[in-house]
Amino acid sequence: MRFSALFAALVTGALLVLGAAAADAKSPAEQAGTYIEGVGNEALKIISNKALSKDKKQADLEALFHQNVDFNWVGKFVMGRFWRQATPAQQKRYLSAYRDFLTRGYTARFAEYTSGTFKVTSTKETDKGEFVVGMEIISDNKGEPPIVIDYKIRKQSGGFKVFDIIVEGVSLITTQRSEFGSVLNKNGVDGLIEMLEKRSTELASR
Amino acid sequence: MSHSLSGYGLKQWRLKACALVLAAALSGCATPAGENVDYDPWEPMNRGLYRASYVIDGVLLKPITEVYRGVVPEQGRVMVHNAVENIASPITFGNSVLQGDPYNSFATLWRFLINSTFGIAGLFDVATEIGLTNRKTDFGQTLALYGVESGPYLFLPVLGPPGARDGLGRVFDAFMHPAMYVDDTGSSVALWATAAVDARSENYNLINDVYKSSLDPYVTFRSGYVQRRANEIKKARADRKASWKKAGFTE
Repeated sequence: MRFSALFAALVTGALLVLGAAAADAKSPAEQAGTYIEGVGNEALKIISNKALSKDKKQADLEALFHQNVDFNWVGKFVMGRFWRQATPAQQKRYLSAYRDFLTRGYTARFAEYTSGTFKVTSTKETDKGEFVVGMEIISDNKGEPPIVIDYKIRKQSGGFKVFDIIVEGVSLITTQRSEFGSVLNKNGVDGLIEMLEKRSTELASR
Repeated sequence: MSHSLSGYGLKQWRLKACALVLAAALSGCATPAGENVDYDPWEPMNRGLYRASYVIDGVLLKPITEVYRGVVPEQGRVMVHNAVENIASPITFGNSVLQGDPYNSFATLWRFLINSTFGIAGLFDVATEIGLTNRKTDFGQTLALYGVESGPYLFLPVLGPPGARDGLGRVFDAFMHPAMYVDDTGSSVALWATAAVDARSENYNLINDVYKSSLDPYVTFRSGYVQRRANEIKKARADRKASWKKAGFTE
């Protein structure tokens, strides 16, 4: 008995070491692909879970989004040159408003789906510690071409974080930078923050 | 369907219209626009046209599209979309030839022949089911491959947001569309109207999404359109290169 327990423990230990070694053996680009695949599976698990209410689905998707998006960097980027013109208090209020706005707007789209299939098609390192992971979302309708999405991710101390989502060549952060630039020019920093807060409330009450 | 060319007068009018648009567009094309998503020197005019378009869409195209989506089930809408795409095949075929893309030219021709016959006048996309796909293309892309810059952004009422180059491209494409050569005005209008409702229906969710989430939909449509076109043209360039290999020519 003692012997077999010891043997089992040894085998398990050896497997764990091997597994860790295998994970280490993966190139950084492969790790990036695995990371996106993991997040995709997590999202799929939430949207295809029939036991969840629509509100709970939305909340779970929001939590997943919060863990994996580099809000601070993206928030600064989409504000462009206006970021440095804002006071620290404005910056703080803006980042919090932006986080809500982006999360609500983005996850609401997914809460409407109930199924889906995706595959990671490519991963490459574009810069030191920066990767682009290509994904195809395959429609349930036969004959419809797959939707091509590129995720730009960056390795940080806390693991990978997404900093851009490019759907069919349209970049989320580039589009939002255009959009915010126009609002900032017309309404200023406070105007933008108010619009973001108002829109988040509207999106949440839908 | 009759495909005979219309009378001489109409042809001449068409030539004149082309020359005018060409002149207008080329003066715009002279400006180096690159891929700057925020380059919009005609913004005041464009915003005016955008607002007009928004109103027209709200009172006409959107309600019709909603009735269409409510009455025709998804499977039916797919069939209409297939037929609309099939009828517009000459645009992709002609431009693939102009772009020097043999694979896409032949793929488009065969798709048209197969879908028009086995696919019952294009209602079923049999070609895709047997693995014969192509890249949809247009004259704006052809011009881009010949080195013409996108030019200033231009918002056309109802037709949406092409730049100066792509706007000119649409005019040329219209002449490759069979509906232009249908003698009966009623049938011609019906074909265009079907294409318009189909296009609005295909983009229904996307458009709603932008209205709901964007702080400035005009800018979101502009930025998104310019990025998507740049991506399509990049793809067209890569495809043309690959095409010669697929067609059996190795350099």
